[in-house]
Amino acid sequence: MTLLEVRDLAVQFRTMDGTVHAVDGISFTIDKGEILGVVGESGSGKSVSMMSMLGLVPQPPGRIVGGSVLFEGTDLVRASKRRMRQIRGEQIGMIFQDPMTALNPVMRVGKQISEAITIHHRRTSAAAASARAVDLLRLVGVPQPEARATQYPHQFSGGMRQRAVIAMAIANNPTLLIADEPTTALDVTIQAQVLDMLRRAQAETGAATIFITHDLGVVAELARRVIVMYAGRIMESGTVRTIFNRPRHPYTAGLLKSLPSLKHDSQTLTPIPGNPPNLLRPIAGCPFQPRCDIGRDRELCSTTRPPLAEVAPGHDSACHYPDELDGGREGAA
Amino acid sequence: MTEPLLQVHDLVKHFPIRKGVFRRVGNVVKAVDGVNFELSRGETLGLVGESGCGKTTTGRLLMRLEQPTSGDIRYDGQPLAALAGPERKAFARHIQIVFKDPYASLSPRMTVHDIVAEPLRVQRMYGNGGAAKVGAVLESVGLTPQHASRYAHEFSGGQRQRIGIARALVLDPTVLVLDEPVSALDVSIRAQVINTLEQLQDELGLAYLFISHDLSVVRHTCDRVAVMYLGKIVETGTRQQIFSAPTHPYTQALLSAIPSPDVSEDSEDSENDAGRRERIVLTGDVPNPSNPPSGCRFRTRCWKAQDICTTDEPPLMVPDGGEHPVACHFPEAVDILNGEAVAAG
Repeated sequence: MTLLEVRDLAVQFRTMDGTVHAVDGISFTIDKGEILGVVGESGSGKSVSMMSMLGLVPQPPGRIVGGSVLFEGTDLVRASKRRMRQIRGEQIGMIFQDPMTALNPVMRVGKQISEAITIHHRRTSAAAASARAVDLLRLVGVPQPEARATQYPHQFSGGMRQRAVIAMAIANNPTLLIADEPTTALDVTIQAQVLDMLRRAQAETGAATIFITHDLGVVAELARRVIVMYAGRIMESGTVRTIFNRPRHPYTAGLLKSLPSLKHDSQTLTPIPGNPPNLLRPIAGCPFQPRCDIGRDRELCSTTRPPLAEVAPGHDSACHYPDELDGGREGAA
Repeated sequence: MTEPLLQVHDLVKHFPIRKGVFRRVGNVVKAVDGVNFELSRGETLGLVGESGCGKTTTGRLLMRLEQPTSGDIRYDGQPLAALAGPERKAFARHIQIVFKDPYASLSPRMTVHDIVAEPLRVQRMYGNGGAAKVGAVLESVGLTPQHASRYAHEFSGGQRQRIGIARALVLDPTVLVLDEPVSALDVSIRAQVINTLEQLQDELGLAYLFISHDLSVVRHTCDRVAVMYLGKIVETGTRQQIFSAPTHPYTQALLSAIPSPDVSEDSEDSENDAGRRERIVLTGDVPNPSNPPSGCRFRTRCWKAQDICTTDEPPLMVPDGGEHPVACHFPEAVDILNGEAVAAG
């Protein structure tokens, strides 16, 4: 069952240099209880699109110029600020990249978590909320949660801080969790712990989860379905298995080929030539066209925007020539 | 085999933590605590580990950006500690560094030409065809001479890292310390820079000390690998040995922890499981390096730890039946990446 439906969402930023087309008309849905991965490189619009859904893009300079975000019958783009405050933290939980800036440094961790509860449930007693905070810390694997709840964020290690942030995000049993690069700031062994824990927290609460990351490995571990973003648009979407093994968009295929493998000795990497486009200029055709072997010399690719169209059941690609790909990682592996 | 170009013997760097009004030394952070390795001409040695394991400090010690507390670094048989004054300055030509963050390591007030020319000026070599040298180096890293008059902020991350590489190469060094040279870059750009580094190594016969936390990049670029944990090398060997027969529990955990985009297609029926391997999830955090655990430093997170691990520090040596040095009392090679399970407990 669909929990969230995003349609043609577009976000722009007015800057001194001109208007940045950060999110350029994206549409996707997420079902209840599903884990959706959103991958893309810096500037692909993956964070901005999710922040704008939550009304967290500062306006100005940001501006949602079009589209709708339907969440359980409410259009989040048109909802009042008051309504958004109710939804955020209650029905939608958020986890950010840097746990240190997400936590208040002068407030005890347990207090911060219980505040997340009492702010939405006025009638919850302080004692009940702190007890729940301790339970939540235990759930996310913080050892000695009673003692930890009385400590300040600086007394926590990076991994523990991120656990506290996750505890806060799931405090009100949200139906949707948005995690924006939650493990990027962490070391690999700690990342493995936190991913493990996120998976358990997700199973526990049954919350649908949007997992934003630049790390294709993390997506493969966690999500079942994935959206690949580039230059503010969705390039491809489908299950992790099909996207990683049989990509039907040259950008996805290029990304996979430029990754060194952990399992095999690889010869030379095949990088994607060139750089991502400047988003100050509107792009008429496909934003990947100048870097694309298939589209570089084709007029259609430079003049007409390819729609995100189904290439196989449950697998969409925004490419005019999805059939011309020789298939992702198979050659490399 | 020829004599190694660089020999590092028992290298130690302790940082004192000063406390109170009188700045008394309260405690010391043992950032690097007895590290040994060798680096030969044209070779790439990967130094891997998590934050705080001492890999960056090791690189800085080689560059003499930090003074070692004790230990010996020899370049071409010559001890670096004995160098002083002009000799030391002249020596700086041989080992150069590329920093991690291409945004912080390039001066915003200097043109690319001046940035790359600065080492030549410092060495008083600019007068002798310096401008042409700068142009040639920029070209060798994939930039054009037209780029020389611009400022660093006009470039993308990947191009900035190329500028950093050009600056390191302009003195014709033989050793490059690459401190996480691609971790700040996006995937598609990362591969471009890695390829450039490989090409330069082939052309110029450079030796690389490749410092990284990204094991898949290390597997791709390095001939030999040293794994560090809390200031010590816990395992070292050829790429093949480290990736196919990791023997130290920490190396095994590290390899196992890496999320891999290699999704198998075999298990198409199990819908919510993307063919994941069993992973070792370590408990706890890296201990405080100012107060490392007694005996084996990894024992607090190790599933194999016994009493002996608390009392005796395991030496880095080749175990019976093994092929490469490991610092563990209970070494056992396990091919983690190909799905071999670890006998836990």
